This record gives sequence, C-alpha cells and structure tokens, in this order.
Amino acid sequence: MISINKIKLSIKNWINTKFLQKNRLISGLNGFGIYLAAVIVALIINSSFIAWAGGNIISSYETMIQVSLGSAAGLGQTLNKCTPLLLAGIAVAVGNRGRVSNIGSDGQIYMGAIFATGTGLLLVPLNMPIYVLSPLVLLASIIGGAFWCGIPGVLKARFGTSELFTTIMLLFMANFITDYFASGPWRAPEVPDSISRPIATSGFLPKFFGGAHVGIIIAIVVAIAIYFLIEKSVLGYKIRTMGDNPDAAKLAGINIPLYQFGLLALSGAIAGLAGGIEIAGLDHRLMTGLSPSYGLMAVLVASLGKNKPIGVIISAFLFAILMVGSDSLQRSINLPSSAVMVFQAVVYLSILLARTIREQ
Amino acid sequence: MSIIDFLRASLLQGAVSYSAPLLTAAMGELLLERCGMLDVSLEGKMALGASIGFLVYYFTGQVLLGLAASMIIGAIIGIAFGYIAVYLKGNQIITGMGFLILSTGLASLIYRLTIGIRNVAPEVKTLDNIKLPLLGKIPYLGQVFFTQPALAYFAYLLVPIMIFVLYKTPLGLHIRACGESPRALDTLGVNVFKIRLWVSAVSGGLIALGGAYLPMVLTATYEDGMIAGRGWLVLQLVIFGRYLPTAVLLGSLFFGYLESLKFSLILLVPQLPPQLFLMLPYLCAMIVLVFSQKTYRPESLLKPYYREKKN
Repeated sequence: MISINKIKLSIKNWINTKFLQKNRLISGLNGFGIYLAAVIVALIINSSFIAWAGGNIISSYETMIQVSLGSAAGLGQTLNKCTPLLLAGIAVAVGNRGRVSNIGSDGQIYMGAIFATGTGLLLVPLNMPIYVLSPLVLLASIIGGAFWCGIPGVLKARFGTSELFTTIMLLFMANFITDYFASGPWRAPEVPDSISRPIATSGFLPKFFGGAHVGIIIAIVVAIAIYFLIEKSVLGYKIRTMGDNPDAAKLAGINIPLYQFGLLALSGAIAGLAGGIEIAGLDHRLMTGLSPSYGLMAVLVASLGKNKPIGVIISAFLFAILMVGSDSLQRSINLPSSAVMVFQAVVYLSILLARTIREQ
Repeated sequence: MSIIDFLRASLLQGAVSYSAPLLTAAMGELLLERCGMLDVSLEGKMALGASIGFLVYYFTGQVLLGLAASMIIGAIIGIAFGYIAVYLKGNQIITGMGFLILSTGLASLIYRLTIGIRNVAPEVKTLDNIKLPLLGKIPYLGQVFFTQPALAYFAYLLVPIMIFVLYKTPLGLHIRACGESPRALDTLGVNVFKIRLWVSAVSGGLIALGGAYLPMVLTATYEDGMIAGRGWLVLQLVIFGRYLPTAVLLGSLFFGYLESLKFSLILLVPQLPPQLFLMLPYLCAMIVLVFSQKTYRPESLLKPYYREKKN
C-alpha cells in the first residue's frame, strides 16, 4: 500500500541521494551554491550603499570594473594598490601559518616607509643615477619592518605577551613617529602638511605600462618565495607544525619562543618592504596617510586567501579592484572613501559566513 | 614643573571624564569575555556608536535618543557577532576582524552619506558637568569626582551594578559559568546559547555607548579615527584588570589620567616633540600588558560550545 509516509520517505531518500551525499562533485556544487549566494548577498548589500549615495547601481558597477581593469592606466593603478595589499597579506598570512597574529602590520609598513625615506633622503646629496640605489632603500625598509615587528616578537618570546595587542599599540606609535618625521626634520618646506621631502631619484622604482611600478613584480616574487619557504622547506615545515599543533612542535624540540620571534620578524620584514615599495615606487615622500589601513585589509586578505600565497594574491587583487573602483565612484557619485572598507568587509564576511556554514 | 602639575584638580577631573568611555566599553567587554567570547571589533563598535549616536543627537536634539540609538546599533552588531560565534561556531577572532572593518567603515560611511560635504563640521552641544549637590562642594575631590557629565556618573554606576549582577545574582552565575564550563551549565538545563547571545547584545550596546561618549561629551563633533585605539586599550584593560570590575575601574582611571596628562605635558615640555607625549598611553599600555600575561582568564574563552561533542 502506498501511504503518505512512504511517499515522504522516498522523497527524502531522493533528496539525500541527489544532494546530500558526501560525493565530491555534489558537495562541491553545494559549496559553489553557498558561495554564489554569499557573493549575491554581498552585491546586494554593497549596491544599497551605492544607491544611498545616489548612484545608478548597474552603471556604478560598470564604472568600477571599467576603471580598474579597462584601461592601461586603470590596470596600473590597480596593480599599484595590489602591491602593498599583497605584501602585507603575505606578511599576515605567513604569521597566521605559525599561529602568530600580526594584526598591526600597518605599523611595520609605516616603519619600513620611515627607514626607506631616511635612507632615500640620505642618498640625495650623492646624486647617483636614477633607480640605482633603490635596492638599498628597500633593504632599509625590510630592516625597519623587521625591527618594528621584532619588538612584539621579543615580548612574546620572553614574556608571552600577545602580539595581537602589541602590534596594534606599535601601529599607533608608528603613526605618531611618521607624523613627527614628516612634519619635523624631513618636512618639505613648500607644503604645509606633514609631508616629507622627496627621496633621491636613485631610490625610485622603475615603472612600466600604465604607471604601474615594478613593486608588483617584487611582491609576486616574494609571494612565490614564501610559498616555497612555507610549503617546501624544513623551516616551513617547522613553522606549520608550530601553527597547527603547538604541543607536537614542542615535543619535537622546536624552540617555540625563538621561532615565534623569527616568524614575527619575518612578517614585519615583508610588511616593511610594502612600506618601502610605497615610498620608492609610488609616493616618493613620507606622509601620514601613506597607508589607508592596508594592514587591516591585509588581515582580511590573508584570511580570505586561507593563508596560502595563491589565495592571498587573488584576494589582494580583488580588494585592489574594489579600492580603485570605489575611488572612481568617489569622483563620479561622491561615494565617500570609507565605502571601500564596507565593501571589502561585506564581501569578506559573506564569504566567511559561507565557509562557516559549510563547515557545519 | 613640579608635582603640583601632576595633581591639579582640573587634570584629575579630566582624567575621570576621559576614563568614562573606557570604563563603559570595558564593562561591556568584561561581560562578554566572562561569558566566553572575545570581540576584537571593539574599536569598530565604539566608532559606530559614536557615529550613530552623534547623528541621532544632531538631528533630533535629544541626548537620550542619541544614546539609545548608539546602544541599539551596538546591540545589533553584538547580536550578529554573537549569532556567528555561538550558533554557527565561527572563529571569533577572524569574524571579529571582519566586523571591525565593517563597523569602522560603516561609522564613517553613514556619517558622510548623511552629513554630506560641508565646510564646517556639524557640532552638537556637549553634555554639561553636573555638580552633585552635597558631594560637589568638597574642596578638591568635589571637583575631581563629583562635577562630571551625567554619562560619566552612569559609567561609574555600572561598576557596582556589574559586580552585583555578576556575583550576587543567579544570572551572573550563569554568565560566569558560560565562560568557565558551558557543559556544566548545559547539564543543568540552562540555555547556554541564549545566554551568550543576550550577553553579546548587551555588551555590544555598552561598548557602543562608550563610543558615543566621545562626540557627545568630549569633542562635540565626529571625526574618522576619533576612537584612536581606545577599543584596543579596552581589550587590554579587561585582561590587565584580571576580569574584575574594580580592577578594570582602576585601570581605566589610570589610562584616563594618562590621556588627560599628555596634553599638559605637551604644553609643559615644549622642547620635546608633541608626538612623544601622544604616544604615551600606547606605550604604557604595552608595558602594562607585558606584566599581565600570567593572569587568570575564563576557561572557555573563545571556545564555541558544541553540545554534541564529548570532551
């Protein structure tokens, strides 16, 4: 006899076999569905802000894509914005692999910029030809960033202080130090704001098409290098163990405090490099608004990219498109610049939600 | 420069006032962390509370409406975070960072979209100091402690209320149990998830209220970045206060004092760059943090509660 219960049971069975199996293809498609839903939700929420600012939603998105990817100049700008995001993202991601949270990487970006500017200004009287001494400037920025993140590293290794807070406190302090140098000893006399004099041209980075500077190449090289370091080397294996299973790492004899310090210093060095590239490649002067919270965005970028270099590259590029696109909307429909943070956070949170739901 | 310069009544009065937003937000975060959750988006919640509170106060002229609006928006963000942390068992630090950027961006975005582009920043009338009738007349302490805006008195009242609720009521016991051992609480039939969600809402409201203090009492306008790291400071305050309301009170007084002091120091020592003194609170926070690592923290902090898991 066919009863209602039997019908219900057979329908349930059908749904189970078709959609809820642990079949990779099916669960992959399910996953795709959730991520698609997340992206759609993000688009809807972001569009509502565009609409609030008084813009036409469709044409605004068109403008965003057009400006960021449609022209050589636009693509150059996108790549330029992608560079610090990518480097800072790698810095945060490499820390995350070792369970070390470098949230205040902005501070290291600024300190790297300070060291780079200092070196660059020192080189001015030498009058060397253009681009020749830029490796020196970048090296200075690496040292600066490593130093600034080395302090939390020492505090963590010696006292166990949480680097989450110390890097943030150092971030605020770096802001003030930047302000001091840019408005004090290194101040450009012709400008009323806290902007420094330009560094020597021999410290500049060359540009190629569309105004993009070679920083993006450096960033990608660093990303690849970190990939090989983390995934393919013994040191990387130790770092990953420290991150995945600290107890096992300790039992295996890894000197955890030393490695944590080293990892933080490495993370800071990469972030410092981002700051140096901003100075050498883009602004050529130290100023207080150098980093529009690249460091905080980098935390999102790293997390979105699952702390793997390839994911970080993709996320950084995506966020850079959002940044350049929002800039253009600021010009066309007066969308405030803070919208970019909202857009990024909405995209990030919706994808994070999708991931969290999938793991349920 | 003498010891008098460090103990001036107006300086200490400013200290008490500056400490009130820290205290309010710290009480909110204390409640949350005692319940087992940690919200790194404090800075963003304070910014959003400041922005929304300022806007509502500016457009309605009613202080209470502004404060209520900021508390409501804080509670909403708190509920959203709480839902993800409690029911979806998401990673609280990562989710918190997302909410941090979202709230910070929203605070600025909503302000700009509402106010538009103006030459002069909109201002509100800040809350006046209320001199308490009898206590305000005491020579030195009267000015320092008892001539403060109403919101500061509220912040200080929160401390005994929090102590009472946390330690003398069954609800407080449940909240603390959620932070120590939610499984034990669950076996008693108490709904751990609901408690955590409610605490998330209330704490969000308090944190946003702390943020609203800044434009409404201290600066009369809203600016991007006006929170200036206070949210992070509050996070450290709760740890450094060993999760005890009284100690957190003393801690916020200390940092309020530092904030009040730095302006005087800039004027008193013009030879040194002002940025050095502006860095002072952050430097002190770091130093204090170094010495407060081996403190107690709730057992189940950051651990989502899984009813199904056996552990």
